Amino acid sequence: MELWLLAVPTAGGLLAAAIRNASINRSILVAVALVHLVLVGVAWTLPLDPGGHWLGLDELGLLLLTGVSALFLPVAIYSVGYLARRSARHTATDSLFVTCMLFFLGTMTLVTVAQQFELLWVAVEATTLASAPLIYFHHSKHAVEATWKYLIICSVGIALALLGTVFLAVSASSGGIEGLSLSALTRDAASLQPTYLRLAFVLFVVGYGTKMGLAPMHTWLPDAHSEAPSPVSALLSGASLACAFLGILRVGQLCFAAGMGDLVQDVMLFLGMVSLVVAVVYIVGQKDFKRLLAYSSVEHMGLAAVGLSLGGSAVKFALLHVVGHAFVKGMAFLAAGNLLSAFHSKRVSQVTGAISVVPGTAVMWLAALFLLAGAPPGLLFITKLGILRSALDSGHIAVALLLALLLTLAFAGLAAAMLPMALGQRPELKPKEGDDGRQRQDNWLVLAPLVALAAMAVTLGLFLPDAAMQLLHKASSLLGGRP
Amino acid sequence: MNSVDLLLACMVLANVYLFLTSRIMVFVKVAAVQGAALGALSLLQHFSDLDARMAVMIVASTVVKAGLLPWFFARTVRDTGLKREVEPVVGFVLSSLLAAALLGLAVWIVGYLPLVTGSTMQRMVAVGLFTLFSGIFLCVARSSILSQAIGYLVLENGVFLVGMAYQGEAPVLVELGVLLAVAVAVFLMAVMIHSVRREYSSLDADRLRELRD
Repeated sequence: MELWLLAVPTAGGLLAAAIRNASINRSILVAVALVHLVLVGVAWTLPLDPGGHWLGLDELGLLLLTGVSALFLPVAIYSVGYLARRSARHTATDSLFVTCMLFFLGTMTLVTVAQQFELLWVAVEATTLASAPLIYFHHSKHAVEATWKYLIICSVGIALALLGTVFLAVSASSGGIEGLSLSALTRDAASLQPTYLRLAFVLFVVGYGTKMGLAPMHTWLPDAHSEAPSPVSALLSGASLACAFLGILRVGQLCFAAGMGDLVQDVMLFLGMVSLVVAVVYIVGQKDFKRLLAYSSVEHMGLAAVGLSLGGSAVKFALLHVVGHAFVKGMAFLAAGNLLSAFHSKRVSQVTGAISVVPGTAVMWLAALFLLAGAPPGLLFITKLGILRSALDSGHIAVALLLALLLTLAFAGLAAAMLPMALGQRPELKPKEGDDGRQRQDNWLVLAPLVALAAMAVTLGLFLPDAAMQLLHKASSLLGGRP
Repeated sequence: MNSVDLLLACMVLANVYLFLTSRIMVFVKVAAVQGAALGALSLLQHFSDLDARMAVMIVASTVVKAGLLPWFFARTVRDTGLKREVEPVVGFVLSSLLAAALLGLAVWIVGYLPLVTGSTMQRMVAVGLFTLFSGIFLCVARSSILSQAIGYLVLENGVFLVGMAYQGEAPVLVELGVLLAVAVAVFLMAVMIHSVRREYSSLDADRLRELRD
């Protein structure tokens, strides 16, 4: 099963690189995304088998894999519309785009099914490498800068996670454990050498935390997420941040099994709070609407980190929050892409009254605002409320109050920018050279994926299937959570 | 002085050189020397129990780290026509003091690490950490993006050396995966260096400050 999940995107990517025909490649992109999602659906019906030494699907992996795959299909469909909006002379780069997108999916899948820590490291680094050419897609001056920062900062960060992996190996071999598979390490967690496990955890957090966008290691994130093409931004924010979080959760599992959960909780509480504060500072008064969404991702990752730190029922809500964030932020970035192509600007002040220019997109933009803020009946409503309630129930009054304040400020900042963009005065658009109006209009290819993502976020907010609930309980019980 | 110590001394000198020079081509040569020294060290360490898979690993890693990647960088340096650092962010007097301080820090940390037994292992871990610090120094304190990319390579060398000190035996497949990931990262960085050169007609990282809030 895991092999099929990996083979399909990889083969699709290679095929797209070999064929280099624009319309065939677009079909490959959507077909692979569809098959991948179907395979993930099949994985839900099969018994989980995490015992493998290298690969295996456990509850945590399946949860995040579902988020990645369910986001990727709408993004793939949107990409077809996105590529079609570009002129026909870009066939060669189109082929590179499809190949890198599919490799990006394949490497993220590998992160979720990797059961061995060195393989996990290779997988996380590979997601960076597969996505870097995507950020550089437009070849503009700013894209070069953003790609460079992404490559160098994330690579250096992840190199520290490699040192963490080395220390984890030292910790294991001194406890007499063979190999670095998650199952073997968890089984004998008590005999792990504690000093090296602690060092490993800290280095994992610094390394994968860089990729996850936790402040103060987030500096590359707003640049990369705002300069990348919008479908890529959607995947970077929605899916790859979640995969990096999984890297931290894996070593967190070991710490909890070894009785060092306190360390995990303290570190995550601190970094989560710092991320929330930094994000709010930059969200309020932000002038670039893609950077606005990027900082909002820092905010949401910070909230997930805080949720993990609180223990109890907050853990499962934190995990669910990451999945919900994938759908909603993905949708928000796709809507931002439509606004960008209609108004030719990323400045908040340049986009007004979208409702009279691209009504469908404007409605989805507003929906994204409220779903991100955690308005009912969205999935993020349940998770934010759950984390706040759990903070109150467990006596973390100060944390709960601070969270409420920061989340409110973030919403105010988002609303102040996003509401006038959708509803303000009808703009006078000057037609651009070579603009035949085709770029302006909404069409179903660039709207249906947004509607699908919003529908998923709302449906899961209303009816969370029992199977998903059980999965969440099982996953969170390994991370210091209780039902 | 045995041959392991000689090679470790080589690594230290190579690192110190990184702090003291501003010639980009020297950075590339230092990285190549380090790659060769690492290959020789792992050969010495496994000399008694050398089997086919270990040999494959050592050869592959040496070819990539001492040959392929430095060659690629050297070509990039030639193509971009850059000889010197434009303007080091940290001056050379301060740099040499920093080199001494970081070496001291590495030795100090090793004193606190459990499980580091025997003087050879202590030295290896200390030199590994010093190499790692040197790489980070190159990334933050030198203003050309080429030195940042080489800094990443030096940082990885440090991680490899620390791993070698603990004699971590990873399966060849994974080691090759790690090596491949590093090589691809460096390759992408070199491609991006060309793009930066084209777009900004400079390799000064300070120019890459257009994206900000």
